[in-house]
Amino acid sequence: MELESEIIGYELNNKWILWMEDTLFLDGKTVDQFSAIKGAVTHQNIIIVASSTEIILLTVEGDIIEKMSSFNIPPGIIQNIGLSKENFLLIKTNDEYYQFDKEFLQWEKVDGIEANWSMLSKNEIPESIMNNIKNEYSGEGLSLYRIILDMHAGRFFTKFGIFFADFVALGLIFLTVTGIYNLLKIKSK
Amino acid sequence: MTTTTIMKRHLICWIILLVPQFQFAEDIYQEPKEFISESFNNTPPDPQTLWLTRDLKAGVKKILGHNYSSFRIRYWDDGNKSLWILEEIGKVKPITTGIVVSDQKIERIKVLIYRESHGYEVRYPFFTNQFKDIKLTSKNRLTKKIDGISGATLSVNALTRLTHLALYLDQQISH
Repeated sequence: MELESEIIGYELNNKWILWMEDTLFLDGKTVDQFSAIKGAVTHQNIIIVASSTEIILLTVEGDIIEKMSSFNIPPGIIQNIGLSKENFLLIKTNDEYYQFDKEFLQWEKVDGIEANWSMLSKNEIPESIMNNIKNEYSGEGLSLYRIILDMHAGRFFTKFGIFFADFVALGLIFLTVTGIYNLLKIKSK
Repeated sequence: MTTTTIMKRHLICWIILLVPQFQFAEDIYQEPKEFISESFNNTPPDPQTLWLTRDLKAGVKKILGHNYSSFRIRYWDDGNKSLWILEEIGKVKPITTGIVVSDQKIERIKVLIYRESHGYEVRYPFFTNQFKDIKLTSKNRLTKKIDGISGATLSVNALTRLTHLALYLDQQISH
């Protein structure tokens, strides 16, 4: 099985944080549903991963310490995360920079701070980890829910599936409109 | 095949095609931030966290029937009452709920974000008002039985479990 979706990867202390199709993986093991990653850092044995609207704190084993969303994180769309020289977690949003406290409970706005911002890994994702993702992704067969979901998303038959789903939808619109036309014509007679 | 039959079939196809597009919408009834602020008269205390130790985890699992989704739970406590933003899955998606506990009794419960396709009726005050003043018995059970809502059983159960959980967690931070 080949994975055709985009995979975003960060390499942190020999751990691979990966994201594919709204799912977060640690070393190929599924962690949780998550939107596209914007940055990932490690801090005192805690892995911190951010998307544009969420931050998740993980143990190095991949257990969730806390998942923070709108009311727990600074306002704005997160662009990246990093660590300050003093080892505080920093968040870069559209226009502002914020620094979390050591417990990741509260934050304050900061200006012109130097930081090590997280960067996408330039290394190739190890094959063993890719195999783990494939196994997680394929699971133990497909559920009916997944089949129906994929059918509606046009994921069948690779790229042609999307065109096929569009074609079917257009066909249904055409048949419905012509059907209504015929019905109205019959009734008017 | 008559035109009417064809039309009926098309209509069914449309319903089948369109329903899944809407069933995963996220309804935000109140932003958690607003709920916190409102519950503490616009001067909320600083957040605190309760770490789920091994014993606590076991207690939580007994209430929910499964482990809580995270190792630590955030709460707000001004010395008189505690506020918890908790999540529990009804059928497939988590229901985000704000619960205020005062004097070891439920003061207020509100569904903040609802993501399920059915059972949204649990958001209405006619249902949530039932939880007011509920406490835990010495046997760690709720003091009152919650009336269900037809068609929303899983959401009702989820909210009942969260109420139980909030009272249990409040006991752990004892005022």
